[in-house]
Amino acid sequence: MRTDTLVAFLLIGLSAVFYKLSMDLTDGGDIFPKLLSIMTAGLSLVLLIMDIRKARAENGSEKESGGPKTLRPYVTFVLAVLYVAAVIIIGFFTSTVVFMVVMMLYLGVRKISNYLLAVAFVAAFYFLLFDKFLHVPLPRGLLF
Amino acid sequence: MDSLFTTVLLNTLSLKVLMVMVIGILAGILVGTLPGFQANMGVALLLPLTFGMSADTGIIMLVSLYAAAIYGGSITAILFSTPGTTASAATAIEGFELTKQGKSGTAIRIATWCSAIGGMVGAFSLLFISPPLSLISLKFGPPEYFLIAVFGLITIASIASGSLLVKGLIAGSVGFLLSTVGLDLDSGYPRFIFGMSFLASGISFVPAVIGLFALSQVLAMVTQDSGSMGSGVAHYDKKDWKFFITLDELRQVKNTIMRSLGIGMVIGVLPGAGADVAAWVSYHEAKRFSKHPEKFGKGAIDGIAAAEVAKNTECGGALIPLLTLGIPGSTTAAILLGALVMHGLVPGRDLFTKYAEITYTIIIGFILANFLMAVIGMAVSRHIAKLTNINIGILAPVIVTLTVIGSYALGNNIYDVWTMVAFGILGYFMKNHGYHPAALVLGLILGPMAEKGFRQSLVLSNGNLLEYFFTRPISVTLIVLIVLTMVGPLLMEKRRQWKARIAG
Amino acid sequence: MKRRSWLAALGVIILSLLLVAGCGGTQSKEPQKQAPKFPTKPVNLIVAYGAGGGTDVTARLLAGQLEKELGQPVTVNNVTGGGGWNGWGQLAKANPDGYTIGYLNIPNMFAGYMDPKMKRPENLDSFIPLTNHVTDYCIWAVKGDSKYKSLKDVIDYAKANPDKLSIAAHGAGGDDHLAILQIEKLTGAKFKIVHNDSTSTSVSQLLGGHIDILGANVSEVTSQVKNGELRVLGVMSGKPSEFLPEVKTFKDQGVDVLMSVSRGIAVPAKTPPDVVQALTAALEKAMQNPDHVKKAKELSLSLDIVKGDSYAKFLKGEEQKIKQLMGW
Repeated sequence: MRTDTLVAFLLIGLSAVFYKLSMDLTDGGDIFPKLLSIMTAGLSLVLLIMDIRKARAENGSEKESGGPKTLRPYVTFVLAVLYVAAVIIIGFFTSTVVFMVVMMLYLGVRKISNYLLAVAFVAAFYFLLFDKFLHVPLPRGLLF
Repeated sequence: MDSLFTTVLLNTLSLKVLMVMVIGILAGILVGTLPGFQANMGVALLLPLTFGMSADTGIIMLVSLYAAAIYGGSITAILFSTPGTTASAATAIEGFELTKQGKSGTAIRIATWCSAIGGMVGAFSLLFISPPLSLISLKFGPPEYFLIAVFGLITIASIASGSLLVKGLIAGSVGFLLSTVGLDLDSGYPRFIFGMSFLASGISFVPAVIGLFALSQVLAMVTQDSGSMGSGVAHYDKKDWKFFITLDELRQVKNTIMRSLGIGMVIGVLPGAGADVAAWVSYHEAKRFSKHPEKFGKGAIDGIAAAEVAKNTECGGALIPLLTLGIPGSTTAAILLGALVMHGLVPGRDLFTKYAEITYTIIIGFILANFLMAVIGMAVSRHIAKLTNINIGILAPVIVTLTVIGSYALGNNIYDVWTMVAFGILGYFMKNHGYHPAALVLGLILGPMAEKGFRQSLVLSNGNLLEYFFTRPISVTLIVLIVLTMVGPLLMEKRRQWKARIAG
Repeated sequence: MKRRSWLAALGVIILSLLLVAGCGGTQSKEPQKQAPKFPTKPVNLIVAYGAGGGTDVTARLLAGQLEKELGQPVTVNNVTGGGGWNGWGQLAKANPDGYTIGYLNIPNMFAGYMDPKMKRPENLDSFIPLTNHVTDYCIWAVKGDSKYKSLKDVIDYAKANPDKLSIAAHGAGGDDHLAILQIEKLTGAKFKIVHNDSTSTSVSQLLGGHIDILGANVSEVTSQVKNGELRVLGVMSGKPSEFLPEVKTFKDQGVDVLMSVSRGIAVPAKTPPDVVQALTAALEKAMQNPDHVKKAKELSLSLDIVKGDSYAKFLKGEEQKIKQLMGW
């Protein structure tokens, strides 16, 4: 399915959920959610119609506008999610070191000195600024 | 008066005051450039240090930090499209475009000096027009706040124009819808939290902005192969880095500066409408009045100047209701109120009479701090700019860790980090498919302001909403302005066509 | 080439872990065995609201004194969001070893678990209350030049003209709102309630003439009272406030209401009794320190030290009162 069509359907669904839930609200709390879900649904409908027209004009074949065709951003995103999960389990500093090294490897950094410099600098900076100076209680894990 | 003036000047120029100013400014720039760290956190952290100082010295340090933090966010917004504070998101649009064109020096120079001009004028106005301005600000009630929010929401039309308008409006209304998540102030009902109690205070705004702008930028960055950010373009161009803004540049943006000073001042004196609102409204107006609106979104220096002047003028403006009425317009101002009170200064008329010496020292110090901020800012950002030449393979992971630690340190909870990550991928998707993330952010910022203003008006008017809105002079003025803004461009277009037809 | 970079990476990981573990070593050893003396490492003080808010200011004021009493750093940790319950939840779930303490905010924390819609597992029993710190009583105020001179004027007018007078509060289920509900119940008056998320907005709405009455707390209005911009009609405490000595209590004016926000310190349930004792003693000393008393006075914060069982009893009592008012 074309992206815009998909987005339109998703948003119409989301608006329906919000509208349904706002029926329980009192004291004027329902006014804006209702108004906005109708507005979102309406705009999505416009988007849908525009996209169907465009699809006809293009004979169904979607002209690619969806950004670059590479998996890199998605892999980076997955790595970031794993990183945050690791922060909870094994602590901030350990996971930061591991994440940085894995990510740099993935992006093809070659020089060993780059790894050492980047990791050492970042870890030291965070340790001194957040831990020692600002006393932000960063999640601690098994090792540190 | 004469002797007061000399005492004040001598106070401000003492070595001690200059030193705390520099400390405040450096700390402020650091706070500003780190994503997630907002001005109020910086001021709160530095507050205990000021207890041992005299009132004027201590408060000068805090206001220097405040101004520098609001400015500092723009450095990274321009260089990496990762605004350090939410107020700098508008600057990122034009600033990063210039960086991609190898003109980061120009962008930073405009941003820095315009910030300083805004800050200095904002502080200067404290000297002369505080009392009348604070009285005007009191005339703004719930209906006026609602209308200002509406005015800000129209900005979406200028971020996303032409064929992208529908998508911009969708992003804006989804942002607005998301802003209703959380405990409803009036009924105490937890709206749309889907059983997740961490959403009770709503979607955390700062992590959302970090995700939408910074993390999504990293995802866009890694699509290229290793190398510096723009393939082949030199990002750090030494020739482009001049210290002072040139007369020619000033001439180009002088109208924008004047307009943005006014906008920043008005929004500053209104408690509750912050620097981000000032920056967006001013950006919108700059585009609307520009002779070359087509240049916006492609690196228009007017856009940078508008946002920068307005958000730093707002800083000074926000101190007006604080000093004259004791009403803090933001959390930062609330901490400053605490600092004033702890030093035995009660906001109100006394500040400008009985304690005039201390008060004027603070204000003159604030003016000077804004100038020093520009000098230090130019010196520092030049070195930060060199980082744009770093290999993406190194830069990308570093920024990811910064977004994580920044969104964690803000509220010390992991939910905020997940919020940031979720908005990161959303922002990436939006950018690739023509939905501008800034439109969503506007909905998130202005949504609560609009809803609260509207519902309070509903209560106060006993249901006679129309009568309530149309019998208040400021409210009527705002309605007229809004209508003009929406209809104006259409009329002008019609007139142009008509003229063209006559000529033809 | 590929293999070499893998090896390099592995080396870096191991090296940094060793390095980092080396730095952290000194800290991780200490809590292993039951130390004879408490505390032996920094104490974490959780505040459920952001930097610069009322609780944050109170906490930072105390942290400095508490450090001196405990001989260890005390760091204020703002855990925000979730209507305050991100912070209280984190306190309840923290290790019950006394190294995590936090502020309870009464009555604002009740809604988060008593309202059945929230489905929250924690409640008052998740904490051991140590001592109350500050109690800030509710007040009603009007503009300095208002035609209403006394509480009676306002109540009489509101009884004769229901839903005419407007009053500001900060959120359903908050102290200001609970006070209004209670007063409406007692007197039969009816008000239009406008909720703001910060009292400073309410003050500017009052000064601008958009609303008629301000519901707030003593510490939030003293500076405006001093310069004559506000007139306080009454304070909802047992005896007049030290900061507004000339203002009568609501009770003395015939409306028997007591309402305040109070901020006290608690630890997670299951914290060992000796640690509880050590902390309570240190807290009491810190709160009574003349320096602390002086600073609190400057900020119009009225210290109200209520320890142990009496504090627990107070919390339970407030809980019941709110339950009845809100109908949960």
